[in-house]
Amino acid sequence: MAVKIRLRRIGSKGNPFYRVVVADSRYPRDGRFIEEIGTYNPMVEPSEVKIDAEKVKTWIANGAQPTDTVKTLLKKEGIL
Amino acid sequence: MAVNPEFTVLLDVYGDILTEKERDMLDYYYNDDLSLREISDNENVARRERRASGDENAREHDTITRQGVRDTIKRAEAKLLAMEEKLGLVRKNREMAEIVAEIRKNAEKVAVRAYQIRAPKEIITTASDIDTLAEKLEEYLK
Repeated sequence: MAVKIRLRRIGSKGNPFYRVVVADSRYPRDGRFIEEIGTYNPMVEPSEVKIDAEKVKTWIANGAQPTDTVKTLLKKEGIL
Repeated sequence: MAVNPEFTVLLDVYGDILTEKERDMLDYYYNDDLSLREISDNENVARRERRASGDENAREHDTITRQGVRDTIKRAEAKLLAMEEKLGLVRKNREMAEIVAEIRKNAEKVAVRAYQIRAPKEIITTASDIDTLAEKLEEYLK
């Protein structure tokens, strides 16, 4: 089971807001994840990204794969 | 998934017109950031489990490919865009929210100015009432 760094939506109807989490590939029906390492708010201009760079690097070094979306955010933040 | 939150919002507003399968897949794709491959893999596990549990509706060789998931998502996205094209609820909502914010700003300006020039109290309370009403409207638009 691959461990991924992915976005997970929280936030009310019509008002998306995301957690950046470390989680596996299964359907996240119960909303479980291994660790929260940041947040992403696409609804403000410019969008707001808060990510713990140290944790990201540690997780990637341990084999966690960021999704394409998260990769884009990490590049934008200069973490990758 | 695109970092663009547009489809997420369209799914919130028009999700009920989609089939359950389309809605679920868009939800996994946009709200849980799963890849097409992950969705098809998960879906096939779920179908296998349904067959194993003796579900009569589960067909013998019923599996979905990554491409199948992609087609389902594309079709669902097209439905959402068509709804927005016809009804424009997301666009209208956004425009109304901007107008209401403008109304609140102006009401506040009137109240402050009226206070500065010692205008009759009635003007200040009326401006404040307008702000309260606009605030209520803002709640509906959320």
